[in-house]
Amino acid sequence: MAKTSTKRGITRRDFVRMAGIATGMAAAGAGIEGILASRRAPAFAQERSLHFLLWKNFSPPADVEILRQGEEWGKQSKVNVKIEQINANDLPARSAAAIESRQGPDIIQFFHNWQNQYADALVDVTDICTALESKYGGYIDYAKTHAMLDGRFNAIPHTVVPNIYVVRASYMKAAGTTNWPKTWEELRREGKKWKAKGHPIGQTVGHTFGDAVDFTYPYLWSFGVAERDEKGRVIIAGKQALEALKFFKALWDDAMDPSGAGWDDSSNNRAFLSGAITATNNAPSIYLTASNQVILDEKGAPLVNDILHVPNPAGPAGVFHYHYSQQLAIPKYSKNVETAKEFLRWLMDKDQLTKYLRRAQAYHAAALKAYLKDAMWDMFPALKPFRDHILEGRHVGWKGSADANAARVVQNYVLIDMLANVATGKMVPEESLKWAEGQLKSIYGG
Amino acid sequence: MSKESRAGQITVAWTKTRYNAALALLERPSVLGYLLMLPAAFVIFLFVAYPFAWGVWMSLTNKQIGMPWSQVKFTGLQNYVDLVMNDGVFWTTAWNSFVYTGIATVIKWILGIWLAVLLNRMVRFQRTVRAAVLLPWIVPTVLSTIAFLWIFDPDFSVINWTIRRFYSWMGWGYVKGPLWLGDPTLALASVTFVNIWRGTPFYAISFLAGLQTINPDLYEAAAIDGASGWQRFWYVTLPGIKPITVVVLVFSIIVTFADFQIVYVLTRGGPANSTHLFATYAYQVAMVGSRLGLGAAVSLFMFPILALMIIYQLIYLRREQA
Repeated sequence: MAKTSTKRGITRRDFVRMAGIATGMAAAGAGIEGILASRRAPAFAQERSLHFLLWKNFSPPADVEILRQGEEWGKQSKVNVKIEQINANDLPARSAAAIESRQGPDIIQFFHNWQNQYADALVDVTDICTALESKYGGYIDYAKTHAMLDGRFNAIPHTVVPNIYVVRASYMKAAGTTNWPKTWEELRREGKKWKAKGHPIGQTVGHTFGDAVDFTYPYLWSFGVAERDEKGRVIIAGKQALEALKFFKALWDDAMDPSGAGWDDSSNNRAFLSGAITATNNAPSIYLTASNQVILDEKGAPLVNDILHVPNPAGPAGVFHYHYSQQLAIPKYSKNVETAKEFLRWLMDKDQLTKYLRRAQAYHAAALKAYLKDAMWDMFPALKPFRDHILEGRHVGWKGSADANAARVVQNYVLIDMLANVATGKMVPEESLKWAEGQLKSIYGG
Repeated sequence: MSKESRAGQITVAWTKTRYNAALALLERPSVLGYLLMLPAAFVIFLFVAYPFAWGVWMSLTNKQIGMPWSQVKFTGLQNYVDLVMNDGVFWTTAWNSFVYTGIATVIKWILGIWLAVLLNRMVRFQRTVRAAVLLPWIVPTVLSTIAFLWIFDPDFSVINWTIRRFYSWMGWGYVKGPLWLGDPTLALASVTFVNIWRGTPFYAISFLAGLQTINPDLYEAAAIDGASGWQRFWYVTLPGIKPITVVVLVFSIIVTFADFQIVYVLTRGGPANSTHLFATYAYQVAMVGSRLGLGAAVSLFMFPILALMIIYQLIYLRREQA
């Protein structure tokens, strides 16, 4: 029988032989002749690439630093790093499209516990996270809860954006308030005076990713309100929630800026910096903008000198804060999982993370507890109150877990709309509570 | 004649016969027509029919973003039942969609005819004015809506600034001005206004084209018969542009009902869900809240209404052609 040649893929032996011929010929000075003799194109190391999607930071120097770090690691690791930044409100839809179509960024930044909605589609990064935990002494509790589901990390906790009250001291004083109110009741009483002077409290209860959540959740917790119990059953419809809603209506009407219902995350920054409001629940971005842009107040003095950072007032159940976490996840569709892990390990290394946080001017804290003792907080003393209250946060979905449905409650603005319904007069507190209970049950079931 | 050459002749004859038969087939309009339609049908199938069928299927399942297809379950009409029975936002969305579409369509229609009549009478600067009128329609929606975001900003709104200045000038003290995007009713009115601003040029230019097809003799005859301006408009102009009115209205209702960009940029459905339309709510449920099946069901609620509009338009156009 005649021997026939068959088409087949290149074997390892063929590859070694041809590479040897090409290398030998080239080394012997055969040049192009050698390559031709090998009857194969010369083999070059294929360039690796990495696509990283994250938000456009409220602290612009942080963007400069993350781009620089991407470039630095790319050069040293010979990886083409592409960093894409978009508006935070567009991140959920962008990541959802990528996850569902199984193509797109190799690393995606998520806020709150968003990524738990598609935990099955994300790479298990427990190995990286546990290594970081043991090296740096553990994560801030809620940041860890947000990044985990069913006992595994589906994202690496990166940073936490702290939120407390940012206050114009002179406006408070002008209205006769000497100290920051310790309770919501006091805030309502004093805020009424501020509003009468034309500088109310500014608070969004609109459809936006950060400030609305940062206020709504701790406000409700401070009244002892939980959306569900430890077993996951919806328990919102209690007298605490009704009390919280009734009080919120009074607080809104007496002391708050009614335009807040239509605000996004940047609106209160603008309102504060332009002197429209006395206080607002916010991250350090207002202070940083006032400082970096050297904004002057009505008397021509630097506005930063008139800014105070103070904790949330207490409700009947105590003082609570919510500081949203930011974590980095690798989708399973990525063809560069190992490269992405390599980059994230490097990014979470002390040298890089410290620089990132400092260049961000203490806008966020690290999700790792050890960084709370970092010298950065002495470099930005005015922002120390943010650090001091950072451990007082809770996770979304409390008392239940921070699972996919808890993320959907955040993403569908259910609790925020419960407040907005009464603030705008669309519903009375009883109606709004019933409405929210229905929405929660349709998401959680039961 | 050799066997080979005879076989060759038979083959040539057979090929010619087949060629002629194929040509004859192509001569038949019914065959050629369908053949020429094939590329368009393929495009429609690929980009319209297939995604639509996929959407219908998805709405009958519990599909979520990132959920492997092996875990996806057929849930029948459960998503539709959940929306109708348990979802408070859905009914607000349905109400908003009808109010938004109804009010915007009526006002665009009135303004469109008014503008078209004016443009039709205009003698000087006709081309420049027509181009200017079209601007809101030409500018990308997101871009113009971002401008409106500033116009409606409670603190920096040019409207509120003017109101505040006026109050101060009159000695009436300080007033904040309307909460364009913070009050549920005003927010819906504001997004409707932007839709009207953007859509009116389309009506005006379409009606203008219709007006120019009306025979001027009809106006002369009506004038000779003593018809007033209003009567000429009612009995000559309106019937004259009726065919184009039907097409424009149906097209506009479909586009307005399925609007997304204006609401997404201005309010993202807030405050308190008072500006959600079917498209924005479907987006929130499916893309942001990751429940694809439920989101598909929200968007498919639009389908029967839009399908009825299209069927009406087709029937009307066929009757006109007949």
